[in-house]
Amino acid sequence: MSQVAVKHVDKIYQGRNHVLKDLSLGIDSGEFLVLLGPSGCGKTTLLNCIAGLLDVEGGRIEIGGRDVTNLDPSERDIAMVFQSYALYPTKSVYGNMAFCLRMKHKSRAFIEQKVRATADLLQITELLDRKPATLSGGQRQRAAIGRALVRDAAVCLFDEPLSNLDAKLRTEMRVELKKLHKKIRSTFIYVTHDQVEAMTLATRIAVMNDGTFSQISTPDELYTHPANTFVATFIGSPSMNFVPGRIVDGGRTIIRTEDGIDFDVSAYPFAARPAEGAPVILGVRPELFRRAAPGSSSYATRLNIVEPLGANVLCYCSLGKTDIVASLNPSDLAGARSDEELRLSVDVSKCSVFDSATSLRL
Amino acid sequence: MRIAPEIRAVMAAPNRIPPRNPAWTAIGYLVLIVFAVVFLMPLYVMVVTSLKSMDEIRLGHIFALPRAPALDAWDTAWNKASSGFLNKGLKSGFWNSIKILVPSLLMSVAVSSICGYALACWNVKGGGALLSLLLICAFVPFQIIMYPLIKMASWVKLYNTSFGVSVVHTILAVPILTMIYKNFFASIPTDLIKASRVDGGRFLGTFVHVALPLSGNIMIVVAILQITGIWNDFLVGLTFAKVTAYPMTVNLNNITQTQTGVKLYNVHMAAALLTAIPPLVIYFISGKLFIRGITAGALKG
Repeated sequence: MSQVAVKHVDKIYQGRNHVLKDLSLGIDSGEFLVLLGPSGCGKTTLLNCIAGLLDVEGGRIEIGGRDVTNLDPSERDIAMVFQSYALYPTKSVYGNMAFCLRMKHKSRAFIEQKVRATADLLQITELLDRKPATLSGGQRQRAAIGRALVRDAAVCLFDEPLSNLDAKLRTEMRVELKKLHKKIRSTFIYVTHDQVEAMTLATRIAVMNDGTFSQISTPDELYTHPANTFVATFIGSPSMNFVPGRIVDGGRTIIRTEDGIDFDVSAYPFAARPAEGAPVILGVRPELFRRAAPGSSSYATRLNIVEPLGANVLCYCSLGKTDIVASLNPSDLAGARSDEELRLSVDVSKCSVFDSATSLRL
Repeated sequence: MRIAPEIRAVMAAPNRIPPRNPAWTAIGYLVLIVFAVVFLMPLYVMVVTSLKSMDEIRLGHIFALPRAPALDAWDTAWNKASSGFLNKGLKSGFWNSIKILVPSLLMSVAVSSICGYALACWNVKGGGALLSLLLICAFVPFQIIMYPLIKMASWVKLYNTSFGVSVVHTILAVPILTMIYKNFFASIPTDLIKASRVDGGRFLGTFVHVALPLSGNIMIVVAILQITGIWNDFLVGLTFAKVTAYPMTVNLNNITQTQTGVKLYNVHMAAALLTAIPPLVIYFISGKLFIRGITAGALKG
């Protein structure tokens, strides 16, 4: 039984704006589920619906087996961390963390013990008497997380909590969050538009686009086997290369591009055999290109621009009419010169093939 | 390095702001002094007259300082002046005004703050329409609704009572104050309300724990507005209060309008000053807080 179940949820604003379209999702206890997607895809709306801050026009939400669709946020056994931290400015950090327990009329001793335990966990014990205005961004973030954790809720909801931090602090807090999740083993639902955060933190990622789920899977699976072109471009930086072509069946399955370049995809694990002549898109991640050893089967590309990144080099090449990006080892590039031919080989079994019309993985 | 001659000239010129023409400063001061004198002149005359004896006043030198300043007129005004029915002076009026002011203040703040908070922080159906209605009501003068209010006050047996006066003051204040509170509470970040909802604060819980603690500034602004407005009010007090329990302003009017015998100017001046001083004191004490309250909303906190 899932800890959180979203069943056929629809959210329509003012009878016209269909923001969430028949979404269904099951989240198990202890999972770190990330809702990932571009701005406007509905991920924050879904989070607010799960929290109870927004009403849903259709469907049900269940938390811990209970139907909570009509319940107030405070009755759903949830906790929430906001992007702007939303700490009560007139209360101290202790008061902020104790507020929820006070509203539940818990005894002072109980509150004291719980708040101190959570403060120790997050290393903010020295900050308990300070007001939020006197804290730095990272400290406020910890206080906000502390306020959420102190109540031992079934689900903890995060709404882009790291967006307001500077880059260095963000990477530090990311690791902290991951360690925290490992330690307390709660269910986390996390919203972000940053795919790096999603890939590093999540046990599973739900990629959203325009109110629907594009793919719900582990980060690894999303990276190596994207279900459609949207997920393929969204995950991974620099994004996957797309080479359009047609299936040519002549003993071996071949994708032939407009320029007549052939890719032998016999080794590719097709879900269903594609029809002859079907228009497809071959998706190749930049790091799947290798500088071809002379003599082996390879593709001729023209090297345009080189971006050295230190650990690897991004090579912007032209494969016929298609522009591609290859991520190569700096040592592999010895002797290669701009505007000259660069021969590359591709490991086709690790590529992705998508149907041109439906954008779905074949 | 070769520097162009124009640039060299700029670098060589002394970095000085040209001094202000002293003539403009003098003119500015002159204008300010003239206006200050014009505004303070009546006040000066009042104070000076209230300290003189009637013989001195009859001499007609209104700007002259009193030869032997005495507080007799003040004593008469406070304790003994005749206001038609009673010869008890302004003292009773003072306490009546207080009795009217305190409930009005408490009730109008309580009602308006909750309404403003509800309209600002919660999705109230028809909230926009209600606000427009309030805006229109704020511009309706009291005199237009005076008669219907008298009728309604007598139906609920509040006519001719001090509490009735307070209720009418509250009713008249609610439109403007609700708008003031609504604008103030609208500046509370919505995430804060959401966090409170998740933490278990419902409507009143969020009001008490989140909205009220942040509203110190606006409370001072509203308090000062209400205190000066209600204290200086004449018409509502005259209409709705019991004849023996008129507020200080009505008392003042009765004292100065009594036509029998000699017009005791020094007593009248003293009486007027006594009536005007309480809100002035409040304003001077809290003036700084008032300004801070108004401008605090403009700065990001």
